[in-house]
Amino acid sequence: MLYLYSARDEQVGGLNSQEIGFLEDKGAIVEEAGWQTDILGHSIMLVDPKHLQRIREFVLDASK
Amino acid sequence: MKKFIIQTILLGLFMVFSQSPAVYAQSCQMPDGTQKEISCNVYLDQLYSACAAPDEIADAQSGKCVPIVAFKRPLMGCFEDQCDIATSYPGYSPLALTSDLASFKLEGYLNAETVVIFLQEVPDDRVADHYVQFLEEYALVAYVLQTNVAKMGIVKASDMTVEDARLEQQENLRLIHTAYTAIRAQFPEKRIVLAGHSMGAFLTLGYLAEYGNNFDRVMAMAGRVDLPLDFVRRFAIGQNFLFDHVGDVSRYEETREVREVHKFSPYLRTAYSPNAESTLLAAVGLPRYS
Repeated sequence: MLYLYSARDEQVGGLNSQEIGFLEDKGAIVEEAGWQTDILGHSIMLVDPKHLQRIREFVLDASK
Repeated sequence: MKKFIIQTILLGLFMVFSQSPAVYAQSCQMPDGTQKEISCNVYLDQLYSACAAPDEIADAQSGKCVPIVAFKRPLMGCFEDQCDIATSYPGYSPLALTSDLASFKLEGYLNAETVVIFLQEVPDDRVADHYVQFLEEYALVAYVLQTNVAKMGIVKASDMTVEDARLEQQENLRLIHTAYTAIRAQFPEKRIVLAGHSMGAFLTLGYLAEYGNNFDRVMAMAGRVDLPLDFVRRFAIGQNFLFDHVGDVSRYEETREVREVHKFSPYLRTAYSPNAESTLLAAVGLPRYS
């Protein structure tokens, strides 16, 4: 099973809905990150500690 | 002069890596499959410094100095008369990695249940700390050497091709897989998570496409399955295109910040992969834990 954590539809910073839809159709579990976008067009989370917390949870709580 | 530059860069890399805090694990996977208690980055430096000729590197198995494997530096978007953009970058170096070179470093909590294999963004990775370094308190984090961060800033090249970009991507994926294989062998009971940001996110998805899903979880941060070639072409000439929800080029803006980021645009070389989406989808059906 593919557990994927990614932003969706956020400029450069995430898979688009079509890509996510394909993956989910194939059985992947895609969790939307909802990151924020920086000046370079990246979707990043460093401005918000809650994103770091979510990453920690995603990494450590998997397959339990 | 060239040798001096190389040595300076290697020294700089060593200083950067040596300043990283809390190195609990320094076991490096050697090409013959054995483990040595040595920093993998020090190991890389040793391979370079063992040879007097700047264009040679010590073969990890025989110890003999052999010519470096020099890929032509590709830049996606450098087409025809636009190639002056590529050559304007102050530093572009031929890739210098032997075919059997494996290099990554492990930091963090050695007894943790989880290993995070992290793929950084552009060579000047300014934000990686924010993404993953905090995880070192909870997990063992493997920072994988990537081709375009191995030796930046030596020479510039203008003969970059799309095919070269694909070769470099394949080499990056091989390095990732080498790191994964070594980590899986060394820590068979640990969970392994693959995480990449930006260029690293493209490589993350590329790995899934080419090698399948070997991981318990995957994070793709600020990257996607593929880039429209038009995006890359325009990016190289100074236009920063953004994506709409279907992944097409929708709009662009040219700002000071955008111009600033152009010097990092080489990371786009690794992004373009024909049929990446279909191969990624096929890979999803090949999980490690099914």
